[in-house]
Amino acid sequence: MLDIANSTFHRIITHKILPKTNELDASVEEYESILSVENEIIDILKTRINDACGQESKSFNLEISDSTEKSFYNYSHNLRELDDTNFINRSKQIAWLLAESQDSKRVPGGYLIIIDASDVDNKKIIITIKVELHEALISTQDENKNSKIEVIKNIFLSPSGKFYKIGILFQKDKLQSKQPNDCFGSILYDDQFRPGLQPAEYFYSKFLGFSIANNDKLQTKDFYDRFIKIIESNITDYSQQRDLIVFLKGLFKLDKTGLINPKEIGEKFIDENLRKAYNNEILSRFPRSFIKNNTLINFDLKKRKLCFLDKVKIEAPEDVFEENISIINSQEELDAVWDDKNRYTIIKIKGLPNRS
Amino acid sequence: METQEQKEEQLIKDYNSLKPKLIEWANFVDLTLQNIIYTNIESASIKIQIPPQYRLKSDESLIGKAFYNNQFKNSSKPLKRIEDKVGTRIVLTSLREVKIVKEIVLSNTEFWNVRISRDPDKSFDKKPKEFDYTAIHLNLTPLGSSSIFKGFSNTDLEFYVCELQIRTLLQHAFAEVAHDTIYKGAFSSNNQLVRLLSKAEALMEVTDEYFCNAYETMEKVEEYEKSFLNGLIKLAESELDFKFDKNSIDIPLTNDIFNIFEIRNIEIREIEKNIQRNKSLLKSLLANTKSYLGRQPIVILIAYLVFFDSSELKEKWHLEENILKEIFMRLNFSFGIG
Repeated sequence: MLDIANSTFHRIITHKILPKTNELDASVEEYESILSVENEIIDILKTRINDACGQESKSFNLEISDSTEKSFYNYSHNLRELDDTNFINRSKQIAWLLAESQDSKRVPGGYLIIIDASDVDNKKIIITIKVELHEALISTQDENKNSKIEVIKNIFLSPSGKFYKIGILFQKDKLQSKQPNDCFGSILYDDQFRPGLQPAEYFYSKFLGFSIANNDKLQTKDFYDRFIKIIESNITDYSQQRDLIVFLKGLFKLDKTGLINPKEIGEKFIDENLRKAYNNEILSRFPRSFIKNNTLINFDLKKRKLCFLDKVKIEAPEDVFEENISIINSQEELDAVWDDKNRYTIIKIKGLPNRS
Repeated sequence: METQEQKEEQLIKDYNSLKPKLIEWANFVDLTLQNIIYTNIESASIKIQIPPQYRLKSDESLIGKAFYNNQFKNSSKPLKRIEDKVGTRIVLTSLREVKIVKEIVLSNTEFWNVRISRDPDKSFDKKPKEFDYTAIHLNLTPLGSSSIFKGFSNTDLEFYVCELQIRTLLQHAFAEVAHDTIYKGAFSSNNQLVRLLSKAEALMEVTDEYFCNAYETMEKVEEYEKSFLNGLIKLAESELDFKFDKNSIDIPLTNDIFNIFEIRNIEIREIEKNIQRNKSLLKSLLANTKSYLGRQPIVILIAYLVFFDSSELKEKWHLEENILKEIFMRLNFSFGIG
């Protein structure tokens, strides 16, 4: 588990990334020394990293897909073992890797912060933060008590998460393995990230060499199944059950972000009566967002079924279910159907439905 | 034959000779009473509103009672029969406390011989149609073994009874307003006034009962909260090797947090499980949180809420946000990004 709070930041270095222009490719203004930073700055860095990548954050786990000679993984996984001179040189290579990844004029420049850290068990943590410079306003008062507002330019790492991206490699255990994904976990925070969309690709894919994890379809199915189970076990009213399941299916079918953020779903859609079950079953298992992959639940999303005792089921495609099947809840409804019995079939089924 | 004047002079002379020991005895009663209340577990939560402070009956009052009161006027030994020559009273908050203190006094027979001279509960059994909203009266007679009364015979000791009244605040207020000034005064035969006071008396008795119920309810709540707080302290000691300084516990803040986060819906066992799952993080939280809250056992509850329902915790948090942010940070939880 990634433990930023109790980690030690051994060395921090920055390099300036100059954006691609009409004339020039993106490049690096190399800095030659390791930063000497005060505790207050370390605290701010840790807070930003934790808010972006901690539990219940919008970050997510990816897989390391590029571990070739000139990859981020290869440059960075052994930073801890390098002496300061080699660390500075290696950090320059990493900065150039980012500059080369920024092959579009639309990608802004900024700084790359590289942090060589370790956790309480001395396991390696490598943190890279691409920060974009932005502006802010400050209100001041001069000696004559005249107040004014001034612009502060070139600030970075303000609490707004839109202006930075973070990639983290953290050592899983000390056992030697040749597979990078066995040795290291990889976490990405990027507010712009959408699977398959270009704006974020330069950072997570071209620069970090991360890719969408293969187990996303399993995670998606696991999340979906657990959510359905919570609804079925905790809501007895059929119509409420149906509404929530319809909402859940809609979320998986229609959401365009490509991400499932369990924390956000909990806050927005889960009532107090389901909160405990949701927190226990979902949030504890899905501490971060994950990429939505409907492969294993597509069949479920397209159909709806009602289950009764003794494995009796009524099943129909999701989009025509409401139109074709309904449960009679009153004598009036029954009378209306009876009057129209040439168009409808009335069936008596033992037991109550427990699943749509 | 002895004139009335001579009788009265003799009574006061005899009374004066009793006074030094009466005072010594009453003083002993006052001190002992406070000691046994403070040291008794049952009375741990009792608040003494007015501590005992003895009073000697005035000479005039004694003469009045001995010779001009129906109860004593034919008595051959009025000085002995009048048992409130010296009296003390303790004023407490509720009827429940009065009963507890009564039992404490009755059970501490190594200090005195004790007899109930007036108990409203008992008078109610005998005269259910009458209101008797008065204090419990206990007569405390010195023991022969008492160092104050060395060499005194049992008959002699009977002259030194100290009357102890145990009252609630409301009984005290009623007595001050009605009993001492009006019942004893010129209005005692005014039926309308007596009727009005009886009504007030009845109302106050009911009020006292409501207070009593309220205190009982409060105590039950406190009991739960105290046991929850102790649970947190014990968990910190047993699971996290961390000892909170009990003298530094901020009880109002603790109760405030307990109320806001409805601890009745939280089982201490769940908190224990959470600690076991996240031991090293919680240890480092306690070791590194330098804020005031970090020295309060409720930090364990708040940490549990971070893991269990951080959204609700943030929603209901009413203290400075930075305090909570620090706890989130220490537990590696995101506080969200702007």
